[in-house]
Amino acid sequence: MFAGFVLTVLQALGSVSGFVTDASNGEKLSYANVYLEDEPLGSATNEKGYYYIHNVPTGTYTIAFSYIGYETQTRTIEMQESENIQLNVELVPTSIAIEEVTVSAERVRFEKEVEVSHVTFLQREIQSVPGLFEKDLIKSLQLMPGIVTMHDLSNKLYVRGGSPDENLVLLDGITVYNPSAHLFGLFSTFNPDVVGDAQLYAGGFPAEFGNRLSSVLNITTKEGNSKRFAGETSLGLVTSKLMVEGPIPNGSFLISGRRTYFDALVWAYSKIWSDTVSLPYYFYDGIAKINYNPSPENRFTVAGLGGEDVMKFEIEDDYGPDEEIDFTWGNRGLSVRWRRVLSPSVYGEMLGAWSNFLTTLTYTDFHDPLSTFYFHEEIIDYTVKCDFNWFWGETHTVDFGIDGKALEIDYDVEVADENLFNSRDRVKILSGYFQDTWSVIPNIVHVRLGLRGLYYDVGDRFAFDPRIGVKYHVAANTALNLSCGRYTQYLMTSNSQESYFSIFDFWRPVDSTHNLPIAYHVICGIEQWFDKNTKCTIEPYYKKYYNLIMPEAEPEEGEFELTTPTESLATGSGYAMGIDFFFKKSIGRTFGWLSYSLGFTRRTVGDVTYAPRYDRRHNLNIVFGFGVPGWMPIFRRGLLSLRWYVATGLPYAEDLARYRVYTEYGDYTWQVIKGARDSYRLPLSHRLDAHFEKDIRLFGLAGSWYIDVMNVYNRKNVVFYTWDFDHDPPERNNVTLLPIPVPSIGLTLRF
Amino acid sequence: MNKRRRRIIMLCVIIFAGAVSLVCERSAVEIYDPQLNIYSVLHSDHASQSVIVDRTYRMDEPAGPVIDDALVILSSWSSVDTLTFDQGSDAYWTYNLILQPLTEYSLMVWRDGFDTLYARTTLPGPFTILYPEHFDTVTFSDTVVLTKSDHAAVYAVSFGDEFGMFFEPPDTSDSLMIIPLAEVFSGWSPGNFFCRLWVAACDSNFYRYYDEMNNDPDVTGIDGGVGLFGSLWIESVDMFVSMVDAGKSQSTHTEP
Repeated sequence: MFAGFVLTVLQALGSVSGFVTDASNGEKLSYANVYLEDEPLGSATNEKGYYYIHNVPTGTYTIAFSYIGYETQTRTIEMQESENIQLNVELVPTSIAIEEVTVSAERVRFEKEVEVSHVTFLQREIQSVPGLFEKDLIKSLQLMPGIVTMHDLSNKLYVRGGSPDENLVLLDGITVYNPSAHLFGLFSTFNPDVVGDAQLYAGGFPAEFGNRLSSVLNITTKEGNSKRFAGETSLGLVTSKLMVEGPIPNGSFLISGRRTYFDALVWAYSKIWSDTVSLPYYFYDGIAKINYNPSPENRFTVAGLGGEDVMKFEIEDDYGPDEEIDFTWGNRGLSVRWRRVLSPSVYGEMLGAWSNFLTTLTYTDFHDPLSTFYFHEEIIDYTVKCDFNWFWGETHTVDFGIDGKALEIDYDVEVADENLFNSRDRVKILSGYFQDTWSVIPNIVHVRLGLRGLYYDVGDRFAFDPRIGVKYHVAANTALNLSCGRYTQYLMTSNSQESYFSIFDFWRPVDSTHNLPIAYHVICGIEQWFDKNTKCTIEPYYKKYYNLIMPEAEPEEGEFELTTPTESLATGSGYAMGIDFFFKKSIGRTFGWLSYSLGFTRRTVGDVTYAPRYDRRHNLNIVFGFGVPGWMPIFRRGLLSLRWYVATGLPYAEDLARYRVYTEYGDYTWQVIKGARDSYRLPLSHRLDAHFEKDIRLFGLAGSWYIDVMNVYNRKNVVFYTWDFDHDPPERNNVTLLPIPVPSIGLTLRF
Repeated sequence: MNKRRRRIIMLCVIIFAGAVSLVCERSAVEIYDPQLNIYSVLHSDHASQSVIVDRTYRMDEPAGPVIDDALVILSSWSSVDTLTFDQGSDAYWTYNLILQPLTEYSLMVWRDGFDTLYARTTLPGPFTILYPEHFDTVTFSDTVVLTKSDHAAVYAVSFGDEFGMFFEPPDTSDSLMIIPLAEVFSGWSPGNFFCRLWVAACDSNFYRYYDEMNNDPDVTGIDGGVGLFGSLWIESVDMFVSMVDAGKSQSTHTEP
């Protein structure tokens, strides 16, 4: 009889589902709270802004939608037997510091998700961090714990002892193979004005993601304003940008572009002061997105990314053109996504994506055609993917999906029209995953179990990567996390990841003579919330690598690498371990965080174990921003943020001795004898950067201006050493990248 | 602030301070002991052979002149020569050694305060330039044809003033080595001229040293020191070059 009663009650239960968006622009609101007033029933929106509340008995209820920074809205619903009510809600923003919104979303995430080593960066946060000339997403992420850099201008992510080629970078589902290719590796491909949010998994990432050993950076661009036409234009020292967004019937669009004008500035300078200076280099990029919602259940999104760096110049002698260099490289991509609510509890997404990175270098010697050189490298990625999200009962959320990938990787090197080297790799990969997030004891113990399978057609290989995550809320504000998993990668790079300066990576599929590189992550941690805006995490981790494939030779200091897949490769293993500490607080316009990482990284090749160049023992970042008080002239009511960092010097091979290298003609040059590659460390690195911005009105438009100063107290951090052999004994020179405090200014206008 | 929060903060501070103090990085100090550095290439067409004896220097010590008081012994299975220092050339010389092809020569250098240096090289075997013959006229599209030398790692081609490109012998059983003159004359201006073409069969020590000279010389065949001890078998031919048939090259350089 009791069973019959329970069954009757369950059959009578209904559900409520829908999307929560921002009323001002139609953007999704992730991790908004949705709950029934006076009832112990509630949920939160997921990353897509979708919520689902199960088991709502028949009756009349008031349902509330709340999100910090927005007015709480309530609606009355009349739940009938076994009914699903679809309720899409738009929340109206109030004036509150965006940092608090971020912290609030993180708080909801803390309560609902089984995630470790995860940070979300919003566009506003990227903008408020000091930068060099241009705000940059990757540089902002470098302030997070566990992430180290090689030098002051490095724009690569070395995550917890992993090299940049171990990071999966996605932009709206498009795999980006060289995310830091602009300006010889100084800027990333992502225009920060259109980044909606960026989620970084520094380790222990869920089964949804795979094919990389270390981390995942998942970037979602803004949806585009579906309420009104709007735009933003920015003028900086080296780039100008324009972004326009607006509604279309049943949807929205966003289009943005930026271009550097170094070339024009240098050209103008050369006209004024001399006629010999030129900088024939520029880059441009653009991101566009269209959303179309034919019905509440269906949403189509088309997103595109394009950009190119161009360096082209001619050298002339007395007889006319002598040599010409034409060097271009860039990322392109396109994704088409169809998101459908299949039933109130099942949510699916299909994605088709194309990604391309193309490099060409042509050197023409008009006097000596035999010296003409042509280099071409291209990677094309075709991806088809289906993901499903199933709210299975009250305690389970099941994610599963499948994706197929076809890769085409080409290299050509020609000298004097003769082919020196070419390779054509065609690879197919099929992956699938299943993951269940189970609230074992609701609000106290959550477990996430996942399995990712991979078929790799080179050598017909299979890999199965189990993942497990546990979160135990020991108190309302304290949780313990544990995450373990196996990670497989089928791509490798033929250039060294230890180069100080490399423009881009040269990707290659792992061939049939090498085993697939794998890594095991073990991460445990504690997350403590002191109040609704203050959190602290401590995460010890251990990562073990097997079958790593890397160039045999140690890279030279100060050299840009342009390699081909003919480089000798070595296989090895390694490990990385350490502790990451993160403290973040936000009160009104005052915000800040402290991130500290203690890390040990080792690689073993043959009998030699060494610390790679990116092995930083200590890395401390402090970011502090506040609204300038009204009594301060000029700066009053502006926002000032400071960033200070200090880090252990990187390991390097010390030059121990020198000797004369004689030639047949009686002359000689000096050659140095190096010590072990990691026995010495560069001096401590530290630097202070400052950012100030203030809202203005100009030509009737709202906007802001900013000034950044990088390296405020003129610290000369050493990247490597060179020797001046004109002195005896030779003089050692420090190579630094920021010889002076570097200011940059910019202006942004919104319309 | 309640007790619990204080405890957590204290714990964090202790962990941080402990981590920093316990695992601060210190650079290891590598002690480097200077070694002997030599340069010697045995030339099959020279009547006398020389060895420069030098040493390595720590980066912080001033460099001195070459070493003039070392004991330098060049030997083979059939001969032992003690070389004498010549102030004019700053090198040790032997004047009465007749080099034998395909013979391993050993060099020993001893100097007080340094490890004794031992080096070996095997002189490549003789070969013959089949084409061009003496005083032939050649053009860009011609090739140099020679018989292969035993024990040669590569062949170097020069016109007397400097060694040009290295040409690796093809990995075939063919007994001939073919070198395209278009590659040898790459970058030369059109014109007619007379020159002497030198072809050297190089041992692997010589090749590795010069191939990597601008990077990190690959020191092979030497124990207890650095430098080069290599050997060359050299043949030459006088020829008349007619560059009107310039092949692919459209060079306008005025000087070779």
